[in-house]
Amino acid sequence: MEQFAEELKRTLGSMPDLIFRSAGSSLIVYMAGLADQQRIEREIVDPLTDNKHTGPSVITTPSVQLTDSYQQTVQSILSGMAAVAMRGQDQVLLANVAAYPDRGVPEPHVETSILGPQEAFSENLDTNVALIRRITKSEKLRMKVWHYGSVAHTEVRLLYFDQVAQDELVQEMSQRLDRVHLEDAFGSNYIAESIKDRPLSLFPTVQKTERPDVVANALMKGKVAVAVNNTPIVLLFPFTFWNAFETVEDIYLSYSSATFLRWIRSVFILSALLLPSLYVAITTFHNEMLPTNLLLSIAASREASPFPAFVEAFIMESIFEAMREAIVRMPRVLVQAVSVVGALVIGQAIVQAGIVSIPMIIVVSITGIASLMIPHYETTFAIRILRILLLLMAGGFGFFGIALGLFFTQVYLTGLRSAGMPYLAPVAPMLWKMLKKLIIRQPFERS
Amino acid sequence: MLRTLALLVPVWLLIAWICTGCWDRREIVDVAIVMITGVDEGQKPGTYRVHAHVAEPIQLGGPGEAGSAQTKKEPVTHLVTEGRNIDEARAKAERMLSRDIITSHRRVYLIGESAARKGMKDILDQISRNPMNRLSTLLVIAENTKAEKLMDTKVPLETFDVELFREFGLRKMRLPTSIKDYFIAATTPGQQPLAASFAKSKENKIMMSGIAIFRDHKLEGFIKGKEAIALSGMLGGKMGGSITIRIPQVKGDLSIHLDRLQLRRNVTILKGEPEFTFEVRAFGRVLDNRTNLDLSNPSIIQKINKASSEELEHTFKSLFHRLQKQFRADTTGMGTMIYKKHPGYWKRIEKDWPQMYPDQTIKWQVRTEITGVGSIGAPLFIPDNEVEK
Repeated sequence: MEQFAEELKRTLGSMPDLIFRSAGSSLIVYMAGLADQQRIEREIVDPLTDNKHTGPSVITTPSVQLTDSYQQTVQSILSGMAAVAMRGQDQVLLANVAAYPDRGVPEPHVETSILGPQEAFSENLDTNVALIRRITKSEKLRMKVWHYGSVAHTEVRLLYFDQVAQDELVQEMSQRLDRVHLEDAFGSNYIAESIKDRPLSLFPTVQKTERPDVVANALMKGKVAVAVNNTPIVLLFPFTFWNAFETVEDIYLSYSSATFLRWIRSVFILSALLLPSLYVAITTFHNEMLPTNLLLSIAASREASPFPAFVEAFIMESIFEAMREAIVRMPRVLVQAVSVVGALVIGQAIVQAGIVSIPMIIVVSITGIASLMIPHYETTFAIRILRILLLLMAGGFGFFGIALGLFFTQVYLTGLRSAGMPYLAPVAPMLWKMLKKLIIRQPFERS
Repeated sequence: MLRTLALLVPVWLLIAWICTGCWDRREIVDVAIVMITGVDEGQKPGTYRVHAHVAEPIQLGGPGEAGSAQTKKEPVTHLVTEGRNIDEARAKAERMLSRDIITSHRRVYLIGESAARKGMKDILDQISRNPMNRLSTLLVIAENTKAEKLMDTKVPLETFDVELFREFGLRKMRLPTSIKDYFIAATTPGQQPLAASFAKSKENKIMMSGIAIFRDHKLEGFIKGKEAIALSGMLGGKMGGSITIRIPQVKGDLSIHLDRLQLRRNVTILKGEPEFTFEVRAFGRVLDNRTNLDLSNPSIIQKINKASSEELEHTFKSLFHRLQKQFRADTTGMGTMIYKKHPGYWKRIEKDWPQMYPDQTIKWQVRTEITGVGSIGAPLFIPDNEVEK
């Protein structure tokens, strides 16, 4: 047993949180902080010191395991189990007394909802899966497990509903997860990049969510979920372009409200993409298209501004993007103050100094608000980058440039796939039955 | 290799964009927007004098001001040039301005009476051929004055005087004679175009004075007053006028405001000659009752109907007398009626139609219906026993 202790000290180093405790004639080794000390006292130490007979049956911990593998013992200690080496026994007993420090079940802070449940995933994989199981008490839920990385040894699970998700989909995802070779897999994004269809693409092909109800809903529709330990984000496959227009609130609102919101969202997302380009194209190349009064108002504001429309648009867009990123990154207590400064600087000062014309500010504000309306966080990046590219095309070639840009985007999107499913389905290829679900939020069937 | 080429494509696109892409960019601040053009005869015979209003946006209020109420100066610049034809005048105008002239927002084209009488043909082609034109530009004639004088008059309530001409055409008269309408009328067999006309009233304000009648692209004359109401009603516009009628054996008269006309026209060929029958149903309201009659009595309304039908028929007859005998212009499209209904016959008489037109007679059947008398039946200020029921 002393050899055992020495071996351990050599492998793990004499760490202050590696605790050796002797009880009776046994040696208990565990990591303070990862193993629940109270439970060890109660379930392992007490029985061992009380009882005259020592043996594995004395310990009252619910899940125990006997092993003679040194590697497994080390891994188990690092995972929070307590290793009990008893005199005279060849094998070591591993008792699962793990109790990780953990956030419990937090509230969602990215995908908030007004009327729905306020639960989100935390970093503990078991808790997350338990949340999903609690919502869908279905016996069809299946999981496949992978472990990656020799350093982090992250556990990844593929969840799906048997006979609801298509077999080809499950096969495909399993194969992709098999092929992943990562030394350290921190976080679900690493896994996502490795199993995504086109990791370098601008548009997201995987849905990342922090809400268990979204995952449960998706599983019931036949999608597959990939849950990664130590990350509160669960990946969902497949993901089409139109999923980016749906919020979780859709199923918690009434039929007419949800449909109305969906239409407004679509209109605004379109304008988030196109409005600055349209403004630059129309005022520079096609001013016959504006009604005369509008043209004169815009001309009146533009008289004082020294920059051409395209440069103004660029300046304002850059400032807005910078402000947006700054607000996300700064400490929460400063947000109020900085937003006031931003509004003053941009709104009042720039306009009164006559550097940027007022219609441009209006356009950029509407665009900014519209881009904040996109429910899916990753799609906003795609839209923002595309918006700047379209602005370049519009500034150079007018409507023709916008048409060209949109055309190429269209071609690109049509060829994109997510877990084998075409990105623009059900619009391209046209699947008539699913089209209705896209345009309106279906009223739930009355039983 | 293919990979390198693929990565070079964005670079090439960027070069193309920077070097060549912006060649026809034109900022709003480099553009002069023409709001209205007026054409008159020039000082030398055979020349035209073109007067253009160019909008000055800076007068409308720049950035940071919430629209100051001190627009004493009208926000337009005036440009006057002369030339042997419109295009020469335009070229001269270009040399006077620092910005590029664009006419794509020009909504009214004003032609002075003398220039219109000389002939419209030379003016019309330039308007339509220029790619910056708008076929919906309204064509308007200035009566009795030069177009220039009309354009210089300040217009009440509107920032630009273009608005006055446009609102009249589109909203009040509903007979907008855009260039498109003019062309359609001029090329339809058996029809002559018309246009709205404006004049300067005695108090130096612009007033809509009537309808200008053209024949073969020359201005012939004007239809005014009651006849103009009848004519615009016939052609589908808003009538916008009142007629005064008297009922026999009743003291005083009434004013009827005519709302609309329903016209049914028919032409039949009898013994080689066309015979026209026009059925008119007019709808109107009594707006002013200067008699003692109680208008809530249906039999009195019948009498009013009869009286106004007679009055209307009289107006129509005088209208057509003027159109046929005085102007000899087939503005209402009687020739088109023949063309549409009896095309074979039309082919034979097409060339003779201008001579046949003045001799045509029309059988009128006019019926008026008073659809409303306002809020009161009898005049409220007359004691009950004096009201005729």
